[in-house]
Amino acid sequence: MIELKGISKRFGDVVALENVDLHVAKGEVVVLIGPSGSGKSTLLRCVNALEVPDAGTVHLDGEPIVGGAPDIDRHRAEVGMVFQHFNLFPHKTALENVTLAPTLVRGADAAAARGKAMELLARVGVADKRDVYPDMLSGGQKPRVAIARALAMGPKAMLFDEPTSALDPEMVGEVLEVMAQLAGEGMTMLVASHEMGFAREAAHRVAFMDAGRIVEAGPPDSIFDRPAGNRLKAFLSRVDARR
Amino acid sequence: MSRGREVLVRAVLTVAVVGAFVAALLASGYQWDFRPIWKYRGLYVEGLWKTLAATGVGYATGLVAGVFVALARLSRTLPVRHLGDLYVEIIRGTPFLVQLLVAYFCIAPLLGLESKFWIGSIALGVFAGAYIGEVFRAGIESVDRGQFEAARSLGLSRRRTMRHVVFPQAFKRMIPPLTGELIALTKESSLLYVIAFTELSFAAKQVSSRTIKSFEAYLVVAVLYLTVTIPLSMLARRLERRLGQSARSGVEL
Repeated sequence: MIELKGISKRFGDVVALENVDLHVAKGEVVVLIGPSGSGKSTLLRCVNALEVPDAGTVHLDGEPIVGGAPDIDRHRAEVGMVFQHFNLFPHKTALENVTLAPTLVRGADAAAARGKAMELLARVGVADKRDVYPDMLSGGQKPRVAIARALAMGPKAMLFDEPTSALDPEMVGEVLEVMAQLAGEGMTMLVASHEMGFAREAAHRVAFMDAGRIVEAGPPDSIFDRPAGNRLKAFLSRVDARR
Repeated sequence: MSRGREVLVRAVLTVAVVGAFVAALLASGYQWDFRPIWKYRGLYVEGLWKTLAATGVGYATGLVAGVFVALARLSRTLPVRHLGDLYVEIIRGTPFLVQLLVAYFCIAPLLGLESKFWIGSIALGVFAGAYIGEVFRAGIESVDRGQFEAARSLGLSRRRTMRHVVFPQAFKRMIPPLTGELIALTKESSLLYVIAFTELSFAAKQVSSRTIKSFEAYLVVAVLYLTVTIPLSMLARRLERRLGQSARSGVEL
C-alpha cells in the first residue's frame, strides 16, 4: 500500500532521512519508534508529500507520488493524516471540520457529507460535539475530531504523527483506543509514537529509527523483548526508565 | 474593575479634561466669537464631505492595492516578491506630503490628469496600499502553518486552502488594524490642502483668513475630525472585543 524506497532528506546541513526503505502492506499497522529528531515525522510527511524527499521514491497503492499539483492533491486526499497538534480549523465547528474536504474536494452533496460526518463523529465518540468549535473541545476530543476529519475522505491509509504526545496523560488512553479500533477494522496505518504500549498491542510491525535511518524493524515482541542492537536497547531502557 | 464602573470613571475623566480645556480657553482673556465662523458653515460642510469622499476613495483604492502588495510579497517568485518589497519600502520611506507633491506636479501632468479630487484620492490610495498590504501580509502569515498543512493533507488545492482555511482566519485578525488604517488615512487626507483641494483643513484655513478668527476656525475643524475618528476607533475597539482579543487580556503596567 505504502512503499518508500531509498528516501533521503536533508534540511540544510542536517540529515533528516538517510536512504530509508519501508513497506506498509494493505491492512498493516506499522509503528515508528525512536528518539526525537530521529526522522519519524519527516518520514511520515514524505508519504503525503508535505516533505519532498531529496532522493528516493514514494508509491501509494502502486502509483508513484510525484510533483504536479492535481496529482499530488489526489494522492493526499487518499491518505489521511492526524497531526501532533491536530491542526483543527478553529473557524469551523467539529462537524464543518469533517465535512469541508469531502464537499470541496469530492464534490459531495452537503446533506450526504453531513450524514457521513455524523456517522464518523459518532464512531469516535464525539457526536454530541458537532456544533462546538475546536477551542471549546477538550484535549481528548480534539484528536478524535481530527481522526474523523481524516476518515471522512475515505482514505486508503492513515498517518499518525505522534497524536498523543501533546495530550494530558489521562487523555492518552481513550485516543489510543480509537486508533486500536481503527487498526482492528483493517485500516492501513503508519504511526509515529512514543507509546510503547500501543506499539506492542496494536502494531503488526515496529520500526526503530535513529539518526535518519531505520535501524531495526520487526514484530513488536521481537523488537521489545529481543532487541538486537545496542541503540535500540539503550532507547528502550531510557523509555522504560521514564515510566 | 467592573465594566459599568469603568465606563463611569472614563466618562467623568473625559468631562473633567474637556471641561478644564474649555475653562482655560475662556479664562485666557481672548474674545471668543463663533458668529463669523457660523457664517461660513457651508465651507466646513463642503470640506467635511470632500474629506470623507477622498478618504473613502483613497481607502478603497488602498484595499485593492493592498491585496496586490500582499500577494506580491508572499509570492514564491523572487522578482514579484522584490517588486512588492520595493513598493512598500518606497512608500513607507517617504512622507505622504512628498508623494502628494510628486503626484500633483510630476505624474498627474504627464497623465493629463487635472482633477484635484482624483489626484489626491489616488495618491492617498497608493500611500494606504503599502500599509494595508502589510496588514494583509501580517494577517496571512499569522495563520499557523499547520492549518495550511492540514488542509493540503486533506487534498485541498493551494487556492482552496487559501480561500477556505487561511483567509477566513487571517481576515478576523485584520479587522482591528484595518480600522486603524482608515482612521490614519482620514487624518492624512488633511495634507491634500497643499494642492488646494477644498477638504476640511483647507476649509479651516480659508475661514481663518477670511474671518481673522484662527482659534475658532481651527478649533471647529479639530472637533469635526474627532466626530469622524472617535466613532471609528470605538467601532474598532468593539470589533476587537468581539473577536476576543481584548486589550485587557494583556499585561498591565
